[in-house]
Amino acid sequence: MNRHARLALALGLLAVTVGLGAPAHARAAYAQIEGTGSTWSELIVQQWIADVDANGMKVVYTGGGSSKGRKDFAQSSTDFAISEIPYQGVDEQGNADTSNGREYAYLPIVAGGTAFTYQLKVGDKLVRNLRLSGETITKIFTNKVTNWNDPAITADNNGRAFPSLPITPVVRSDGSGTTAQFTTWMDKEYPSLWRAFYGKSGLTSYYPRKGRAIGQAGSDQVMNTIAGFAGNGTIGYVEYSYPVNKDYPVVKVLNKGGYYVEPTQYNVAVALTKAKINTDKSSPLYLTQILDGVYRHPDPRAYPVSSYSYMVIPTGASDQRMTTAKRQTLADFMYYSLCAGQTKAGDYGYSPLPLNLVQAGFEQIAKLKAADPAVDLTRRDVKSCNNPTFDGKNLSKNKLAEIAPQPAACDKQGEGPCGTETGTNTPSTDGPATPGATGETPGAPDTTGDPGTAVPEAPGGGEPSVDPDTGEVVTATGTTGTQSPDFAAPTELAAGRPTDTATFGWVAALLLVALVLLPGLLVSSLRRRPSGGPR
Amino acid sequence: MPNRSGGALVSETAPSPTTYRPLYDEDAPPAVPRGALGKPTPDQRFARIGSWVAGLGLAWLVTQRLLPLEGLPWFLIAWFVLGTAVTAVTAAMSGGLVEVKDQVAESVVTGAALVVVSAVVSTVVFVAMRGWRPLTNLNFVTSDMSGVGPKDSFDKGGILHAIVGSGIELGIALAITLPLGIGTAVFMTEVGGRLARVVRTVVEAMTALPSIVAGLFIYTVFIVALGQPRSGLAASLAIAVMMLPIIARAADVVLRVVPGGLREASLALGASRWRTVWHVVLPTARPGLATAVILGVARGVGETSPVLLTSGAAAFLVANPTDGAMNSLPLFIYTTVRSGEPTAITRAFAAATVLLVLVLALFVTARLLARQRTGPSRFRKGRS
Repeated sequence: MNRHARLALALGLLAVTVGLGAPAHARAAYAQIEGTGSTWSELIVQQWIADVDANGMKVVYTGGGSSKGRKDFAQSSTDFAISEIPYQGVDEQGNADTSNGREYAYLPIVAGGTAFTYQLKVGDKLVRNLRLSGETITKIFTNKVTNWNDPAITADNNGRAFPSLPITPVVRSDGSGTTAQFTTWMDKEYPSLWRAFYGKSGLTSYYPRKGRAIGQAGSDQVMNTIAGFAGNGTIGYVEYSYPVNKDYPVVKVLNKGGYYVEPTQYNVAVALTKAKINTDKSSPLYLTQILDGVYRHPDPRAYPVSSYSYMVIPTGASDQRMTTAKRQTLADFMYYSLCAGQTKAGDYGYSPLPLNLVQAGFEQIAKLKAADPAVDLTRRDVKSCNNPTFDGKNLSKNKLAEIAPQPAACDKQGEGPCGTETGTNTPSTDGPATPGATGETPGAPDTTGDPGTAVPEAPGGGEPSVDPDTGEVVTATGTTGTQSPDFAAPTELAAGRPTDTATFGWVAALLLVALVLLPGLLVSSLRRRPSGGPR
Repeated sequence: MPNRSGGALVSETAPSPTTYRPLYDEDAPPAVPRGALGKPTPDQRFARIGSWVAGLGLAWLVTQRLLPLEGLPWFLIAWFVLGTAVTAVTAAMSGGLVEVKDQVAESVVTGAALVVVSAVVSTVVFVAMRGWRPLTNLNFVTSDMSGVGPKDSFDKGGILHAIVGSGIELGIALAITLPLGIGTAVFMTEVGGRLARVVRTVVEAMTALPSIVAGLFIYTVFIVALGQPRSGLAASLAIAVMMLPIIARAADVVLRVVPGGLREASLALGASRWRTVWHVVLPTARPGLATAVILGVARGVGETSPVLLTSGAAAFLVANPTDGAMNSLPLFIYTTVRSGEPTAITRAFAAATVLLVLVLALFVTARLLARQRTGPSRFRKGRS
């Protein structure tokens, strides 16, 4: 009897979990679409999916990596894929990386900067305002610069020296779009350094790990390694949202305009206004990004290591998976993503797409209608687009130039460095911290902003500090951006050798243990001696 | 018999003085009360506890003051090593080499047991501490994630879709593996022969099958080759591949301990082999079989990699396993925890807490069923 009761309990547990079903409801015009791919863009895609759910659109997105997304799409097991890099033809392992003949188009969906986050402590205090030029970054990741006191790093920080500490680069061990974006940039901008290190030219999804570098799978694990207990001296590349969420600093990278900038949403958007799309139909890289202009954008606000990820959409008229309802869902989902959805990008550490890329996106969406005339695209164009970086009603007006804040003067090459913290998702600027008077950025970054972030002109922005030597109150000087906070200067003692402390520490510990244990051992041996004799 | 006759012979031939054989009174208490074995005297207890306290102090000095070994792990390791050393020395002061060995062995064994226990406890505590906040909202188990973004607060959205998905997937997997697994076990124990040995080897090898391979197998066969969509059904097939060897092996072990006498009695009464299996062997082993099934379910419910490739993570409730993507608990945890978004990560830890509780409940059920088998039986009574 009891046995049956328990069995019934076990089955009941199962039955409860099974029985709680409710019918899924979907509107007639839409059909459920599924996609896989990039983990880089997964967060914002999940947000969009949540947003369009109210309109009856059922979209399923499962991360797993760009390579998986491209493969699934090629095998026709998904309706769309998201990837940071286009189909490569042949991947690093020599396997085919093509769409298997499935017709497709690339559509830019969300932009972002590859951020370099680091842990570097000067006297137990985390450095939060490191600046590096692109060349120094490339040298660090190609093992040419191996110590934080390297003169190149000191020069980038306008003479501010860092302690002697070996640099440990943290790279992605798995195939990753972030790695591909970073290596594309190195290959384009510093080919002599990168190609000598990699052994050949071009980008790679799998970073060649050499020397001190540590490999970690996934951006989250790279971030955890850097932020971890033993992370002092590490630097790695991740998407901007990870350091922001972890409250960790990012490197300000030198752009061609001579300023060190952080990959905030507007800095990336400004850079991407120079993104071009390959329109050469004969090229294998047809419709993919050409970012040379982005890397060398002379605007002082542009973040050089900016790029965007693609959605791969099926454009074949006789595609086996697609139906009118699915195409309509895909088109409307993309319309939302390219327009209103972009306002949420900044909050997540991404960047909204600028006008040129949104227009390119709409051209690709039109291919869905070309494949199936029943798809309704009326009133879904750039004019009705509610994108934060441009005004749909007046396309000639450059709204982005108005709302993107100019960098602070102390961020200029040869000035500063600024005392403001990085990795807070707030722009480092001399102007008002909130970009854009239109208020089109929900959850504006200034709400999270540290009140102490140096905005020298703002009344009460900079706290008066007391000079430690004289006791005088040091006030910020009137000129903009020249306020340079006191930084702890690392001092290397000639006689201070770290191996010595370790050695003597061990000796002291050994002596201590011997001091405690030896008397006991002596007593026991003395006590045993007489009894041991007769035996 | 020969003894008695021999004794009689001796008494007859030699009328020697009476010999008194030593008496042994079983009921009489020992003359001197002995200290209970293994129970330390206050002296010994003081030395033992004192040694560990001394080890604690030493470890603090060594790790926190002398050497650059910061952090709790180093402290605990140092405490264990130094505590054992001090214990050994105090044991050497009061006794001989045997005591030293005894003390050292005791601390090493106790330490190992503590490591295992603390691994389990810290897992549960860590997960629960990071994920308790969403659990305070009832909607966490009554609603799904449709229309809920990664940054939304915990009073919106829940994991109903993942729980339901896991339940449906496991239900289907169980419907496949239950007859197959127990059938395999019956074949291995009741039919026997050379083929059974091969099957047993294969089943044992399958237990070690990496779960990602099971997922890849279903992905290539069911989704790519057969062109089926990613669905709950595909996920349950992949889970079934993982569960089958576990159930078959556990059921095999259970069936093997069914006493041979029962089978022989049944066969001797004229029952066919099939009737013997159905009416004698399986009912005898029923609680054990239930344990085997629950162990299989507990394995299947936590598998991530097979579902990662085969089901697709839907954010909304799907009740039909053939109707496209369906989420499940492990997949929900995996996809959410790696997002880097603190709110989403907390949600994933809450889902992990739910999964832990579910697995724990299954294991407790398995233990209860297993205990019932040996509990009231006559074997147990006779032994103790």
